[in-house]
Amino acid sequence: MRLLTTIAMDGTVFAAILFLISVGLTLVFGVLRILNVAHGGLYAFGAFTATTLAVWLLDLGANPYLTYLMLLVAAVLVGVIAGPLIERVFLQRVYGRAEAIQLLLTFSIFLILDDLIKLIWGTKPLFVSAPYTLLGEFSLSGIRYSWYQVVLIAVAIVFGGVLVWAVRGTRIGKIAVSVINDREISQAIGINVNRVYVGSFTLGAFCAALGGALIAPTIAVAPGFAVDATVLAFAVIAIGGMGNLEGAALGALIVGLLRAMAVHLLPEADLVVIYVAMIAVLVFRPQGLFGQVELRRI
Amino acid sequence: METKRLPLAPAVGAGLLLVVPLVLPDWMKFIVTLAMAKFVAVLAVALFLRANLVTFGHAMFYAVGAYAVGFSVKWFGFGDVVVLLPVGALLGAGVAALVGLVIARYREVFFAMLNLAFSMMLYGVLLKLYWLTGGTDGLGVGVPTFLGYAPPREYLRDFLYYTTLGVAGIVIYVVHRFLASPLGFYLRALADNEIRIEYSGESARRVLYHTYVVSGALGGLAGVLVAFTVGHIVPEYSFWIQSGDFVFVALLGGYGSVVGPLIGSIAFEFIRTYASKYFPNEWQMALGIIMLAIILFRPGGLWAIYEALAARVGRRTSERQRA
Amino acid sequence: MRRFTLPLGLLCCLLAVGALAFILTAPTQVASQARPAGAPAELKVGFVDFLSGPAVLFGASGKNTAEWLVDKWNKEGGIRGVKVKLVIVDEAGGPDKQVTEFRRLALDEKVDAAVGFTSSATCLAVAPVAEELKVLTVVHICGTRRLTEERPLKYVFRTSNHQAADSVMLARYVLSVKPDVKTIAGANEDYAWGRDSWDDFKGSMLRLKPDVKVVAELWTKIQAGEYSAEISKLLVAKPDVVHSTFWAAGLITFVKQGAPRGLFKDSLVALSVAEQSLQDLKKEMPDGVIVAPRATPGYFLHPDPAKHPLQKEFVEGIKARYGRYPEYAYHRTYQAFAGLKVAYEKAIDQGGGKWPKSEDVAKAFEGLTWQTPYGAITMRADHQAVHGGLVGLTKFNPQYGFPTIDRVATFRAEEIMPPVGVKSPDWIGQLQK
Repeated sequence: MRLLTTIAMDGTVFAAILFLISVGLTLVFGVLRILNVAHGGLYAFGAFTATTLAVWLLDLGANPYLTYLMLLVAAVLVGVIAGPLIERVFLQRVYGRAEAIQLLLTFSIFLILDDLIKLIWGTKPLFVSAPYTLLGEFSLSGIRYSWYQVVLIAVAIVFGGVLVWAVRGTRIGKIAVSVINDREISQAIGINVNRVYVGSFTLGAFCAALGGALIAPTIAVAPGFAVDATVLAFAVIAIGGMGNLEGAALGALIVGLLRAMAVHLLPEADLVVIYVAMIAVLVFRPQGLFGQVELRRI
Repeated sequence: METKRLPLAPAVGAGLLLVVPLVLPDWMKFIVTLAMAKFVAVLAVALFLRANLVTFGHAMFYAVGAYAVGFSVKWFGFGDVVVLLPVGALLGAGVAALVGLVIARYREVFFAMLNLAFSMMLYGVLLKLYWLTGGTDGLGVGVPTFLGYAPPREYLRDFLYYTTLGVAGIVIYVVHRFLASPLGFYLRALADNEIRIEYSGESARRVLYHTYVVSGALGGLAGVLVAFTVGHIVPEYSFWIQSGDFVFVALLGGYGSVVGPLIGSIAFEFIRTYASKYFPNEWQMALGIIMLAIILFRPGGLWAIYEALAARVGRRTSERQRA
Repeated sequence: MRRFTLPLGLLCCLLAVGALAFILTAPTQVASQARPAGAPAELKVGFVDFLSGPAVLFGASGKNTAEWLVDKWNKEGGIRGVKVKLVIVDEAGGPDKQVTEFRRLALDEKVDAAVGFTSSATCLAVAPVAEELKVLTVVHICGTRRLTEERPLKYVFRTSNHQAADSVMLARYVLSVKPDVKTIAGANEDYAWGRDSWDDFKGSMLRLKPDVKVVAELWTKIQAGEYSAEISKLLVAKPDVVHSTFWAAGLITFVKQGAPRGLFKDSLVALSVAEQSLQDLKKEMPDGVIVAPRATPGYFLHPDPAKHPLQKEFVEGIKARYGRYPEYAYHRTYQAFAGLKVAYEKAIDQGGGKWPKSEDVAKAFEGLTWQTPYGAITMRADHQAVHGGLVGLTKFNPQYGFPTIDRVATFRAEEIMPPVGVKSPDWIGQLQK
């Protein structure tokens, strides 16, 4: 019984982290139809910025609870600066071109971001644990967990909820959905598609950076740590359905629980299960669990 | 008048490559050998780029070839280059034949994702089965033999070089013929209009499947060559970044031609070695910027730049001749 | 009159310049009188360690020591008058990249010798290439016993104990601190270093106390950086003792994620490499954790610098230049470079003052004894050097602001390292209490 609750708890914490990483990726794919390989770079940028801001705040001797605010500030900074920059300067030049080209463009940006991080922050790992330890611990079935891990889950749920409401419930969201479904018609009825694109990409960048910022207090932030996260994000959105928010949540949950189960029951398989699941879903339901079948347009 | 110049350049290039071991220092010889070996895998990826399909998983076949060598050395103490080359190619083709059954149905980003998933699954297996594969430590490949002959140490590198050059030459010829064959034309048609392929009686899925098997063989070949050249293989040979590098080089060299990827591969290896020596924290960025420049301004890659230059030179000479 | 003053003035200036030049170059002149015949302009030594990524915490230590030592030697005239030039290479990127880098060092940079290699994966991959290219290679930290136990070496040397020593030492110490241990668990990285270290620890524990049970064996990716699930699993299993060879950033993250959740209260945790990270973890490392500078016979407080001049010079020199007390990565780099220098000097003397070839230095290295801040160490004929080890429990030290080692126990080389020609697993199977 204790094993079940442990697996459930570990799995859900993973899932929260994965959701935060993946939701931005699926959003960008949904609107722009581009798989943004540079997503991992933005995630890393968010983590580094957050750590630097938090450490700076702590060095000033301020209230440690403010570090949580710093995490958010870091995400906003990265999203608002990197998002429009990448979209306007690079991405918009390859809309409508071959998909291979678009993918390679984002891959190039990923390489650039990776080295930029080394240039800005050096190559040593950074640590800040105040946000992680500040909230204390609790016990579940006799196993202690950090409250921060629960905060991650809560943030993932709330954030996901906000995004879904924004897409379904607000006017901007409906405009975005319209652009997703048919760009030409949307332009024809007067929607400023360019603005939707920039906005969506910026939101996606913000999501990536937020994921990184929230993870940062729990790990050693070092150059290169985004490479694994990127491919996990691909797996999550492929399983859930690319472009679908609920899909990202479900995909994250599946991957998170699978990994937790593997670690506890069959550690040899913890890497492989994720890709097996991805292949299984893609083979039987190529559009993902919640994805929509795309009609081929002639 | 202009076209006469084009065949000259490849001949000059081939001639240069033939004399490299006699002229260049050992270190550069090593880089060119590595570049030619990887070029074979890049060519495999380039085939798909022509069909507007990106594969982020061809590292899988590359790893299959490399680990074929690794296991052969580990279990049988057998490290013969000439025998293991076709073995690697067959294994690569075999894996591609299996995986292709699933993959040939998909296009666009799903094609890329599925490829990625399979290659990462192989990566996970190679990584985790420590007692079998050595995990992240990888496997050493030892000193190779050539049909039983063990060359003296001073010439080992030269043997490897010419073997690689020979394989690269054969591969160029084979792919050239493949692209001139009906399958090759249909492959290009996949990028333009798949429905037309179906209308003309061919199955798009069949075209993709056959190309996939051929590309698997190429990947396996490359893996064998690199395993012997470097001497040590690791699970990262199947990692998605390795696939990304192949796609990158295909674009850099220009996937429209068969020789472009070779130029791209040589350029890439040289840039990577010397840039990472002098700019360890900036060379990736430099590569990224070069790529961006190519994508935005000259998507045909280095080969297209060469063709444009050759055309301009050819035009000027014919103008002079007319004048 | 002017005709005399100008040339005189000029003459004086020339004399002054000449004198200045002589004074400035005097050390090299004096040294060059003693330069061995056939000596190169400078001795090029490649140093390979992690300059990026999570393991940079090791590489920085190595690089600092290398630079500090080489600067010191060059100021004193170099190795018998030949200055040393460091060519520093990043060990990051995986074993296959490192093999290529090693070839570059040998063929492009044309180094005379190579020192370094922290990761077990790298040194195992590079050793055959070093032997193939005949480059004298001194491994400073890489811990896999396979390097020196699996095949005979001609050009490759290791100047420090391998992992068997760490594991045997930890096992002995655990039993001395907690003689009634019943259950053990391992959390290690899934490669030669982690696998063999755990096997040796498990083997030692089972040999010294056969009724001990293994309740969990956890394997993570190298420098995985995320250990929540593994920590949960350990908290569920609740072993008496946890053994871990996590290092650098991975270790720091493990401690940061585990300590708040009570991992170090539930179990006695033995960390073979943790002394390296004490100055980074500071207050976050709990008290009462078994830590060691791996099996090295000292750390910055032991032996007492006040009583040992080499130790004093080293500790003070490093602290002054880098603001950090030398930890085991510093020390093992010192061991390697010092051994190389003494080997070169011995080879020069043996060759009658001629500059030696790599083979001559290699021959001089075998059986060599040289001094380090923690005492003398000796290179065996199988190219493996042996020395003693130190281990203890963490205790926060307010004077330094980080934990120092309490309840120190030291072990002699014979107690923790197998003799020449005996493979570690066999030796451990015959361990005596």
